[in-house]
Amino acid sequence: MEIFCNRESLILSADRVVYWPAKRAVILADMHLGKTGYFRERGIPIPSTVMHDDLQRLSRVIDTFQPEKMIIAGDMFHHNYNADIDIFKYWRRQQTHTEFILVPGNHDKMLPIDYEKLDIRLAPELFSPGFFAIRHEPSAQPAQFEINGHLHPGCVIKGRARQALRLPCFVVTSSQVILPAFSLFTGLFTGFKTGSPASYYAIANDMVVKLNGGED
Amino acid sequence: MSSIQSTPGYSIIKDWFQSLGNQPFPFQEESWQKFHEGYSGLVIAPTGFGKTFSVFISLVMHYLNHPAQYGEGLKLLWITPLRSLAKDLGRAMGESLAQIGLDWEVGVRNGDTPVAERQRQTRKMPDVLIITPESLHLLFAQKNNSAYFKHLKCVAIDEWHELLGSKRGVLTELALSRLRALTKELRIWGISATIGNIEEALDVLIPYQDTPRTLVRSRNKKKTEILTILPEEIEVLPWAGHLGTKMVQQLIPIINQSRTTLIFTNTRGQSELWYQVLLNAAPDLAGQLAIHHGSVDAELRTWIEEMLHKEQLKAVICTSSLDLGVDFKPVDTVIQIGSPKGVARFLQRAGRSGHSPFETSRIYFLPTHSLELVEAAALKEAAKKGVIESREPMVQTFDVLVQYLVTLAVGEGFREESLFKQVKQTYAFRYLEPEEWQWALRFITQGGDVLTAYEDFQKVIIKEGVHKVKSRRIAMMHRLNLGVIVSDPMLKVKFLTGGYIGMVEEYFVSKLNPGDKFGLAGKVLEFVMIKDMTVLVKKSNAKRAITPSWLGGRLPLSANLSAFLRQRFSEALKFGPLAPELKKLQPLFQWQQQYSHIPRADEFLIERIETRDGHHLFMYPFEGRLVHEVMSALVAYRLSKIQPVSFSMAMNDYGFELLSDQEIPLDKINWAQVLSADNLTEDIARSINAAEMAGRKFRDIAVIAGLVVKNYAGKFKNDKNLQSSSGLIFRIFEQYDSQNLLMRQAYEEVFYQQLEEPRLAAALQRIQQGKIIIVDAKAFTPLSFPIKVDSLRQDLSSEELDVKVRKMQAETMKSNGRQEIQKKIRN
Repeated sequence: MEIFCNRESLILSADRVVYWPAKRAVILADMHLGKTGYFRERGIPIPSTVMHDDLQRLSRVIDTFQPEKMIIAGDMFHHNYNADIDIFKYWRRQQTHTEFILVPGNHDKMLPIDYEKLDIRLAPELFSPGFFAIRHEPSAQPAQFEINGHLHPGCVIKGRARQALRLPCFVVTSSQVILPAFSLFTGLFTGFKTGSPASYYAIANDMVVKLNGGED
Repeated sequence: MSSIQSTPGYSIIKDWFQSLGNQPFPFQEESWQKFHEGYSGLVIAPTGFGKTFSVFISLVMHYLNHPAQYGEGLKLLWITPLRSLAKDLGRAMGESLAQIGLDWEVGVRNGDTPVAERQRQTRKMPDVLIITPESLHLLFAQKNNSAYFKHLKCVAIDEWHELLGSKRGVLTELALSRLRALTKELRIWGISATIGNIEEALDVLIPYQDTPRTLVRSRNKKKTEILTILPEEIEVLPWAGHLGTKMVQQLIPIINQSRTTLIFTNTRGQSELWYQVLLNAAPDLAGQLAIHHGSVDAELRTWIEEMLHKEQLKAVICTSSLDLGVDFKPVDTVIQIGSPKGVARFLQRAGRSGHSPFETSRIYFLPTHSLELVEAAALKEAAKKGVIESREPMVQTFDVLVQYLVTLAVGEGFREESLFKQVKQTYAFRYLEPEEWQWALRFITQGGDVLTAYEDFQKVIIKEGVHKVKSRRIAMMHRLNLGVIVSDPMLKVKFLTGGYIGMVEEYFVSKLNPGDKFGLAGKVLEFVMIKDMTVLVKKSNAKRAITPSWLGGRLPLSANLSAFLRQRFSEALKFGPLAPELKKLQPLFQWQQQYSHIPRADEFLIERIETRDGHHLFMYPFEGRLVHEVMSALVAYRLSKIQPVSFSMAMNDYGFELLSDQEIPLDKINWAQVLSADNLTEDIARSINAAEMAGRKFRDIAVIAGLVVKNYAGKFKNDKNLQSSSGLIFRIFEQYDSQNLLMRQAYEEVFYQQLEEPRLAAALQRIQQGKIIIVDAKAFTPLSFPIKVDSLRQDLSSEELDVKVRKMQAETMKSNGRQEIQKKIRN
């Protein structure tokens, strides 16, 4: 689904990314690579299949948009290095035509991960390649139109008989786009309040649906 | 075997009883004799008759008779569900031992025990240890713990009826199976109040073929007087929560005439509300009135309990927080506000007054809406007939099994063949299949079936045939998160100036805005902000406050009580002597009969009503709201198969409503089919979102099985990156590991406990065998009105609701005045 932010085009994809045609860039956030392995090391059995599926989806995104750049708006890695990250390393080697740029969250910066080895370029915390600026946590008062991650936004669609559906969503305000978390192994945060009126675009299976009713 | 009365131990005890001016009860003597003969067993007696001394003295007597059989350290392990009980019990035991002349040490071990004390205990175990099931499992997680139990002679399980039917009961069963394997000739003695399935309770406690066992019942009956507080006027169109506070003036003389009164409410929210209402009505109670529930600061609760003992309080408003525990001597009156929804709970609460033997317990019942008067009559009848609810034991709880396996692996480690035999002996796991056992082992060693190839999953490792936990971090996290009581996350509430008030659910706080007023622990507080997981508040002088609606406050009507309820209804218009409650309700019954119909015990009433809102169908199975929740979805689903139509639903304990914007062609409907018990499981699965309900059940399961971590050790604070929700893990398992037994358990819990499928099936069969009465009512009836009001509740504030209800009442009165009604009976 295409939206315009002050006339700048942005495509919202049900694969939990946005495509910025002007820069031929795919932007995504909160991949949490290695989270599966981190849980396993601590005795909670989560298979890597979850991460495989995430990466497969990302391959599909690359096939679809053929981007020059992949910009990750923070929280690319969950914690320290673990065996799951080797899987990513192997996958990364196959993506020869795409540049990976990481806009670090406060978290990423502290991880002892050798980004160079993974062929990832580290950008400043506020990365501004053009119309949009990319930053992990939303600024309180953005000076420029921002694309952010961090919040893992979700919305609740209420149905009959007290049933409710929770879906990941994009939140778009007059100065910000907040991305859903890319990884399927992430929670949803449904209780946030934006400072200004916002539109919500929910991801229902393979569709992006604009929700009626603005706030919440 | 000789008679206990000829033993030296008996004469010592007898002398001791005489020195106190007491006589043992026959059931106490019986339990001593059976213990002496080597039996295990279950003692059933009303509160206040010295159940404790039946088992405790048995062991003391056995020691006095056979001192050579005893060694150093632990002799008696006393498992109790309640921490609050432990201290006083320990004191009482210690005093008795001193009077008898034994220098035994009595220890207490639970979550409140200081670390130093615990360490002292593990260095040298006391002779008697009073412990919770959780703390016992924590002992199992220690190195070389089997040494503690070397000389153990008896395990007592106090308040077994409280543990039975919960996962804590399963923890207890597993603990018993282990203790039995560690010590020779262990006697197991349970102590229980009367419940419906006492034989089964014994089977669950002592399922071992080679252990002789017996039931010891007290023949003493507790006398209970049940008094209903009748409202002066009856509202023909009742609604919940309205009547009660109007009757506060009738409470005050009862409180004044009693020494000390316990006032039970069903929810914490209700207790906060009543505290305000009572204080407004009788300001001179200030300082003598306290409020006691699970969210009140533990220290404050202890203080209130002490004040109760010392007769410093005139009344305490409480919830199930005071259902159990030490008796307060000054309490001579109990008031129950609103229906207790079950006979057992009601009698248990009654028993908190006049608890010494031969004294009469007195309980007043205050209805919160007029229909609850019928419940009062039903409660009286059920109590008179001694019909008490059963506690269904839980079985095949894989979450508890997985936790137990890791507990043992953290402790001394285990060998799987011998442990399988041990676990399979318990009632909970008697149908455990070898494949399921192997699954549980794979789950803790490899993370289950999808994870077989990972080397980084090292929760439990196998070394020379022994399953062990090696990682210190995993061991520590397991110990911190052991247990089966999972509650919603709670936040501390503190004054800005410091000073702790209590706890509220995170869910409630998330809906507050700064400046909002809410009530807690009887204070009106103004919300300021949340900081460091603490809710900061100011004192407020506001008169009105919202009371936190703690989740899970609503109790469903028990099956027993609902049967009595249907009977009472069918007697409503009978000539001849009537219960005073029913007499009082005559105007309501007459209204119901005139404008609709009063269902007899073998009748099922359906009311069709049309209003501006749409087409309503009201049905009255009287099976409690949980069953109605499913039944309404089921009926809606089956109706929509006849003609596509969508419904919104509402329900209370008596019936449910289906509301549609389309007319429902009642003539075309084959009710026998719509209300049939055939294809029940399939139709339920289609009519409700079973996956979502299972997901909710999975919350507890995930925590118990160690998939979601609640408590983090200080040293491993970084582990907060482990935060995840059970919902997330549920989705992942659903997608990648749907054969996981924890998932299966979640669905089974939904169908058997939440949906109570067997009870639903029984209800449908009952309806099939009786008559179906369909009435075209012209306006809301006394039975339908409260359901309608309940359905409005979530969208309106209490003031708005009040106005709206008045208007609806007026309209209903008007439209009912002019029309004839039509009744159809179908067979």
